[in-house]
Amino acid sequence: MKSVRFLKSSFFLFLVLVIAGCSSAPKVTRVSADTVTDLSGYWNDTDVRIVAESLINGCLASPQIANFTRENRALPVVIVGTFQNQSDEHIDTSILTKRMETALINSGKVDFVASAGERGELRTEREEQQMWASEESAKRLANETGADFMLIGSVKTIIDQAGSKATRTYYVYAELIDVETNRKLWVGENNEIKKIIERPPARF
Amino acid sequence: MGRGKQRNKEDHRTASRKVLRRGPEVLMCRRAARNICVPLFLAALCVSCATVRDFGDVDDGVYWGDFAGAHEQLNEKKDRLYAKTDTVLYHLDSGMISHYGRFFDRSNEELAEAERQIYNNFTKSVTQAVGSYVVNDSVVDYAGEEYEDIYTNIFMALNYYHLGNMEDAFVEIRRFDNKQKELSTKYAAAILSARQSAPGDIDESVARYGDSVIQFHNSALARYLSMLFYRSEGQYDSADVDRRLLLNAFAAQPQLYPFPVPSCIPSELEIPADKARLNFISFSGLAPRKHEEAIRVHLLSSGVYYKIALPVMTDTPSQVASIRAVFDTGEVLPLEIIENISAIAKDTFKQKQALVYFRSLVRSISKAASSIAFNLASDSAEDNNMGLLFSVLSLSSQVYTEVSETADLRMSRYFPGAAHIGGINLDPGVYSFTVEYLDAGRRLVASERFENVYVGPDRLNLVESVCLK
Repeated sequence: MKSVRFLKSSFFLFLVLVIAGCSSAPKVTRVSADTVTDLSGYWNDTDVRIVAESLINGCLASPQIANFTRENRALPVVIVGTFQNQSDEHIDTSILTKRMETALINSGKVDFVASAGERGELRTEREEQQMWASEESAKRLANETGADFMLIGSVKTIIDQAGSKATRTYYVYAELIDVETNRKLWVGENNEIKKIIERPPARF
Repeated sequence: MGRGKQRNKEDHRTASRKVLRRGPEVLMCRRAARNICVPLFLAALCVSCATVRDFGDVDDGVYWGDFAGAHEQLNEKKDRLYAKTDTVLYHLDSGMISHYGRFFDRSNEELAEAERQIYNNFTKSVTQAVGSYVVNDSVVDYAGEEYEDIYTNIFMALNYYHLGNMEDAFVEIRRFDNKQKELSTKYAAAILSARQSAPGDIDESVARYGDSVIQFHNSALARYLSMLFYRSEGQYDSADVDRRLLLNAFAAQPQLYPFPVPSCIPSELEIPADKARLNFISFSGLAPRKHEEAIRVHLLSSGVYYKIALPVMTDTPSQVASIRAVFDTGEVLPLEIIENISAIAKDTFKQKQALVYFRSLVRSISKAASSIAFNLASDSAEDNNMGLLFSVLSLSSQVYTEVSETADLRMSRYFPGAAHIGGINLDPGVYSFTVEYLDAGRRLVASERFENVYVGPDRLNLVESVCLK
């Protein structure tokens, strides 16, 4: 009798496990945004965070920016230019530039104006206001703030690989260039991201 | 003699008496023989029953240039055409047909997925490896041939160009370059390990398959595209580096580039200020296919042989012998070959072929060893029935070897066999022209019409055409 009961309960447990195993819902685990999650070895959110922090800190600590503010009694006005992806993987560099832009604006040491991609919509809106908005509320044409500096940059990679082992090193550059004189106000470099990727010898 | 015959008869009678006396043992032997041989035979039968996959409708669509229809057929018959271990092949085929059909976004999705799976499948599954050791290499997840892996990036680069995304087109060229650098060393460790597992005294007739030295290390086609991309960005220094690397590809790999450097190359970076450059890239024919070469080496002393079935790549014949662009103005621009993709496919396959060869050798010799062991056991068995059992086992083992040792002939079907290029300086404006594919007798095989193509200065005007006949 005991063994029959044992068999029954074992079978029931087995059934529960099978049903639980067959669940079609994906397993989701929430983690803190600063958790390091290296899955493929490619560029990921952790890399963006490390690089952005390092470049932002470098930019804000730059004596040239403080000098500019002191000499001109105004914050430098920056426009985001091209941040080129010159790596061997598809990287959305706009995440990096947006992060930098946010941090620099929030620091209160730099002003930003809308980038080339953003201002088209604003200009259309202003033009339409001339026709459709009240005279008091319509915004003036040709009254944009001209940028003093352009923020440009690039991401490059160096890959070294042999057999199932590869190293990926990322070089990220950011520069603030004087729009009028082409003089470089600040150049930042980050080459802290170096990964060794080993493919497992076997899988099951 | 008479006395000998008499003794034989007596022996036979004695044996029969023994058999009669040992009835249950005989029964066990027979049952054992049946229990072992039948499953073995069935297993061999299953292994040999390779699914016949009919790509007829898809091939027809590709042949006639109806790529949308071919893709529809491919998707409709996907489950019948591709095994679970062949998903890479599906994505490659679908990605290539989508590219030819100018569905560039879909092509990128499919080719990127194929590339991801090729990378993952490079790591072998343990369970599949066991299966491959017992049966053959067809039971493992297809991990792509080298040329499939690297040319995937070329076609993704072209996809991105057509989508107007030059930055991502460059990314694909860089990925191609990285893979190309890795080629010569990718299988080095695996080949060395497999070579060490294989016996030292290998029959000369099969030893040639162990050659794993590849010539390919620089693609002229990739350099050409990179040069055009850099030129379009105004980066003439980088474009010139690619031009020189392109020339080096021809000079350093004469076995793979036995034809002259296309005559348009020197003028690609010297475009007069008032002119616009129109470039052509044309893909023709189909990449090679694999067929099986089976070699049976007899082990003289035992009467047993081992069989090695190897995949060997052979060219797919193409009707296209020459290509030209004929402008409506009457001007004719001959396109010249820049890359024999078939030759590179075969060259880069050498490494994997060597690896397959050494693995097959070890597997086949192990199977032959079991046949020899059964033979020896049969010879030394005192009991006739045990001898019979071992003989049947030996025979079954050889049948299993014969049937199960088949080459893995999987590969994608729709990569092109060759790439031709051309370039011409024109006054900026709108042009209509036809790309014509001619056979060896200068008869028209196929043509592709391009209407009202704007050819502008300081930009890349690249026209891509394809004929897979």
